[in-house]
Amino acid sequence: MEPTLTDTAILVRSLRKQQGSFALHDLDITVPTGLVTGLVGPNGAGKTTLVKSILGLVRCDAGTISLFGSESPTDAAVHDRIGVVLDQVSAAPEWRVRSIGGYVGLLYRRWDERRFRELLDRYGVPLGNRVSELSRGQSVKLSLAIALAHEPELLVLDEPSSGLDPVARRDLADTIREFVLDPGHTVLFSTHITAELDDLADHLVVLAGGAVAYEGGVDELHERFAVARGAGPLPDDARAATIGARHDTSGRWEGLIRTRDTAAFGPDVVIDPATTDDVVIHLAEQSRTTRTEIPA
Amino acid sequence: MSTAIIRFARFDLSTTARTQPARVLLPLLFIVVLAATLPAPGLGIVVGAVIAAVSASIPFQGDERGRLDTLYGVAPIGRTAVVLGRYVTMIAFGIAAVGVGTVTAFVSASLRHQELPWPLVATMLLAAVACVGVSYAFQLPWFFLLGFTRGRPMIYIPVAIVAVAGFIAGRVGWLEGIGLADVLAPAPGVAALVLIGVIALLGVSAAVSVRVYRRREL
Repeated sequence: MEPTLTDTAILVRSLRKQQGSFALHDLDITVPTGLVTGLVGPNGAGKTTLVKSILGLVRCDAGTISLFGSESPTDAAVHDRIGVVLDQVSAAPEWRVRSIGGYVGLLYRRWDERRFRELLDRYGVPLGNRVSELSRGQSVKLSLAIALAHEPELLVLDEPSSGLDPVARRDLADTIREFVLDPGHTVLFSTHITAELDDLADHLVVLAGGAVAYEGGVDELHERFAVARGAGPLPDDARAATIGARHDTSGRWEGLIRTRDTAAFGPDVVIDPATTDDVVIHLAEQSRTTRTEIPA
Repeated sequence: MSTAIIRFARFDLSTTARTQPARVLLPLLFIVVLAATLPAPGLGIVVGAVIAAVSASIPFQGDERGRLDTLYGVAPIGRTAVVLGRYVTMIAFGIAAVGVGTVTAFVSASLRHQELPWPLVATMLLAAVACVGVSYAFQLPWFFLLGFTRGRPMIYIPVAIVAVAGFIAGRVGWLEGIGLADVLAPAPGVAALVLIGVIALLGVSAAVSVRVYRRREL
């Protein structure tokens, strides 16, 4: 059933975008309200291009993007409801942390300076430092404080955890969990570190080669897919049921399978539950070799 | 003027002045020094105009260093407000630069016990408005289209045009025998025509800037 706009924060339909030799192909994506949606895929899969298209930072060649029911991704009223954390903080390197609210707050109608200061204090970002003096983790926390200081309903994060240490990644995950405690709040979290989504995301979009390879619930993904591992050549009947099979140097093979196809494999093949990482790796491999969408 | 434009202009002016003081104050200081040392004090107004004309890139440089274009893109401000707010910023800077040049010219003339006739000041100010207005009208769309790094060659074009025009005027002999004291006040009709022309040009320029910046990928 087509999702309705009231339960959907972001609705992308038939999105196309060509950038040099790279292209997003007819993407259909739904980001449900109140959930954490993970946008995963290998480097170059199109995650950042998709996020930038959703935010109106780049123009799509075809298709529609609806944010809270508005089909204008550059609409200022819509952006009032969105907090954004990109891979690098958008702040001049010479700005001091304590002054940033005074500058950036001018661009937001609902800026809450007290909340901004509280978040900085909680995240331990040193107020007296210049932006250029912050560590990678502190920069991400500063971006989060900026994103959350105007009480957004939708938080969009593009690769925020790249280069973060485990403690900073845990803090980031805690912030996201706390944000979605409000049922009206939604998160779109793009990352290539899929492990961090396993106990954070409710909904998953897997991008590979500029196309959607999977979209659905995280639990459903784990129920739907498994990993088959075996030695020697991959039998023809098993090959048809295997997605993105890869051989290693010792002649062992590994591929993603649908759990319903488990019977196609003999007793010599080991079937394990698939992690999100497994799904991304094999769907990307399949996409790379066939350039086609994976059937459900 | 919409509140979004005012909010952006306040942001732009405060961040440019407070976080890039050297880039803003040095040109103004340069105007003071040059205007005070030139033999004819009235030329201080011209210096202010030329410095203002070549300074259009300053805020765009700040945008690029701080990835502020992305901040503008995700903030609830709208690209039209960004463009029009930036025009307000640049016009304010142009007024400040020409104002500093004018004040320095008067102070310098007073200290040297020289006369600075009002017709000369009026003509210089009109020329300054035309110089700054035309320069911004051509440069700003360029920077909105390409950003600072790719648009940098445009910084030098106004200087080159002034230099070439001065060279040609000198070779042709247009400036021979003309002293600053001979300059007449501009006719009211001419002054009105210049002002209306500059405003119209800036209006067209802003429309072009809005169009190109809306299409720009950030």
